[in-house]
Amino acid sequence: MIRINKLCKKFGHHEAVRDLSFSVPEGSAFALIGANGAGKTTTIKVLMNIVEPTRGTAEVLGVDSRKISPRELGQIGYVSENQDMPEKLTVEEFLAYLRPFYPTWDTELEKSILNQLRLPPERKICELSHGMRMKMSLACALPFRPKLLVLDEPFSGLDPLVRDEFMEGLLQQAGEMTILISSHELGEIDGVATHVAFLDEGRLLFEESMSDLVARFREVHVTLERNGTQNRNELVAPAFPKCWLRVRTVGNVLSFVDTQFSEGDVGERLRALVGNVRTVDAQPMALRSIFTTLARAAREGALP
Amino acid sequence: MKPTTNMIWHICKKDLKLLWPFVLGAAGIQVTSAGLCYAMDHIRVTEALLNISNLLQLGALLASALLIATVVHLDAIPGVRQDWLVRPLSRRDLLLAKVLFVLLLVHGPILLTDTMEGLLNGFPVGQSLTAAASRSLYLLLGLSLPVLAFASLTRNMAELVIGAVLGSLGFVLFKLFINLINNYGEIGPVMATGLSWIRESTMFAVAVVGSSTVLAIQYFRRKTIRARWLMAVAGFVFLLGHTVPWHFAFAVEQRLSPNPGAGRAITAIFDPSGSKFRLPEGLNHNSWFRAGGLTRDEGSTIYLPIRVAGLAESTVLNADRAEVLLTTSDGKMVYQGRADDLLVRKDSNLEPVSFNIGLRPMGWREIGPADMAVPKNFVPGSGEALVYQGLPIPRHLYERIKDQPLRLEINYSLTLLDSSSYSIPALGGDMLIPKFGHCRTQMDDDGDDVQLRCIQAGGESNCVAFFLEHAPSGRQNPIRFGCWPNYSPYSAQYTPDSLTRFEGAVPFRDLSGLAKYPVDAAKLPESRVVLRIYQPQEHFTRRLVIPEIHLSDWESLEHDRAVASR
Repeated sequence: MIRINKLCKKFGHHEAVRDLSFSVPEGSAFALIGANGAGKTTTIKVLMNIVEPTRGTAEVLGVDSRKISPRELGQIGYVSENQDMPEKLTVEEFLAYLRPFYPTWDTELEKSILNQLRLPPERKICELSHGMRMKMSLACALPFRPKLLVLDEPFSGLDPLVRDEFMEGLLQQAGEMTILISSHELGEIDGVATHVAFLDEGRLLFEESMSDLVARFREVHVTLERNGTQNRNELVAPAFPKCWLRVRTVGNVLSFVDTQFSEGDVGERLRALVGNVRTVDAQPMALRSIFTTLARAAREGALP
Repeated sequence: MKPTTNMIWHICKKDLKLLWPFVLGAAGIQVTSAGLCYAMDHIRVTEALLNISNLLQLGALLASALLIATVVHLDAIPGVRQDWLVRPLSRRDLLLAKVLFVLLLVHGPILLTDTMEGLLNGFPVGQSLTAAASRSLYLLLGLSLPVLAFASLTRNMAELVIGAVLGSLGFVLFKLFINLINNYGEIGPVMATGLSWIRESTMFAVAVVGSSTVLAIQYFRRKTIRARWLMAVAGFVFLLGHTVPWHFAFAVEQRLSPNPGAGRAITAIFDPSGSKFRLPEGLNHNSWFRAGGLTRDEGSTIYLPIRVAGLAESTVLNADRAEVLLTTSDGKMVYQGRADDLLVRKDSNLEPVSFNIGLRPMGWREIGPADMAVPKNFVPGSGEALVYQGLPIPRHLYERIKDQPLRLEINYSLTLLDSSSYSIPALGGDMLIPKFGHCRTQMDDDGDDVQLRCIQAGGESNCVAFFLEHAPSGRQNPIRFGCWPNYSPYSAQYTPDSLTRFEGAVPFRDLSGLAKYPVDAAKLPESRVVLRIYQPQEHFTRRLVIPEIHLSDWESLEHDRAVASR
């Protein structure tokens, strides 16, 4: 559905995206995560042919993004917090304006989305709150049943109630469509994304399926025997595997995030590294925790 | 996807829905301006009314420009936030929708009001429509297209205003620079001549090509930086249009001569038997003028008697430019410059010949037979006339070379204009003159002049002569003559509308009682205004060479001294 190969985008001397490569499988809900300025929005704008890449290629629906025609755009829904819509038109007027551009526009679906998102058709766009505008943007992106839905920071600045309404609206219509969502609101993505790519300062740190990601990340607490030879100073040593992040000790408890966790050999590996182990507690991590761990490690240059 | 034309119309309707108050406002200013122009053609015009009309004309143009910019900014090209960027609309359709909006809602009202004005002034539908369409096309190419292109380079009105201010600043700096190197003269040799349209057309062509390219780059490639550079370059080349060389422009004009060969018989030779020129009243050797980069010092201006032959009756020979070259006997150039803009009018009915002296940019004077000291041995043949060619030379140079034997060469770029005569009753006359316009006559408020007012739809006059004639006796009052050469093959103007106006006063009474006219108030009911309208026949060149001349021999006589010495 989307294929990005060695993509670079420079703004002056600033390299917003560097050698980025990943693919979005058809039918997936692909989350592009990263801190502010990581290059998520730039990547999406390249995909939508809003900006041109400096180097590399980005293919959308099998077409080079630079050659995207109305035919492809007719199959792509785009929702962004930074979308300027005609302010003086009412919700209804803008939807009426958009209808003829999309051959697959479903008026019944449009009505049902409007109802579901509780959008007032007679209100002018300039009179809509930020949350309402985001819902409006979504309402404009769904009625033609796009093959690909691109959401650029859709939850930014939304209160929880509106977020829920937005997500409900989105999930109900999602069906078979492929979704590319960029966000740093990881709580919302957690239950939706099937794949995730993590960007930092324009570089891709990893890209994998959500299930693999969740499976390999564990927050591990190891309780050591009190009469063991190791003390705290010895524990915080470079001998720890690079796949352990945020390593710390409190008393005789060693805590870290294992980025290459595998269920079977955890006890053996630990014993080999730190000696006598009393208990090992490995907890699955939420996407938010994985993200913050990786973001901090990236800043500290501690990523494996 | 539905057919393209539907989508163009669909986008245009959206723009109208968003901008209809603006459209109504701009159209309202246009209608008011046109209405006032029409009213001013038929009522007594006060200065206040004239000022309001001028403001409205400017307002109408400004409103049109702002409306065009606003419609472009509704779907701005630069930027990354516009909704249209992610919609399946063809960029070609978007551009065409904007053009359609401009044609229908900016030019539509202009075309309509101009046509209505033509019809109300008594012109046929075809002529009114043609004149209106001609102006609309002129505005489209010269204003709307560049504004459309310029607006496509900006995101919003603030950026547009900043860009316009920077552009204006660039223009002012360019003009200052040109003024500096041109001694504060007119920019370009064709300025203020009948060939000015060539400069204008060149600049129009640059504007059209530049604007179209910018629009193509913006709408089809969205390369704003590149397009901005191109616009800047196009703007510079546009300004260079001012400097169209004279010889190139005149060569173009010669090719466009309506009646090639009409001036074949015309010759101009130096006639040393002619006496010295006597300056008309009001001028003396201390008179000094400076305008448009030209200097005229009567103390160092010589007047050469020139015998012009081959002039047909009721024709005008206009020297669009006369370039003079002075060299010493060994071929060294001592001066190269412009001679006076000579204009010779042949009219056997009234004054057999008259000519103008001076330079157009600083105003010139008509010299009639009464002002001239015609040499006793001058026997004019048919179509011959003795005129004086003024040759202003810088004072410091003149003092140095005036007594040297010099070779003098004058290269003339000439236009022969022939006339058609029409007559209209002196009082209450109302006549549609073919290929000229709708003319009316009435007595003025003071009761000393017959006022002649003509409105033209789509025509440009070059020279006009008019006088009062008593039909039964054939007696005539002094002729009035005006000439503002414009050889443009098309007729159009930015303001105020598609009509051009001509107004003149024909005197029949001297309120001071000093002069008495052959056609006086009593004869007015049986009199008519005779109107001669001159149009170019041929543009051609002539060279006049005087192998040896002493300039001091041809200094002018001062009027007062000449009269005193008689």
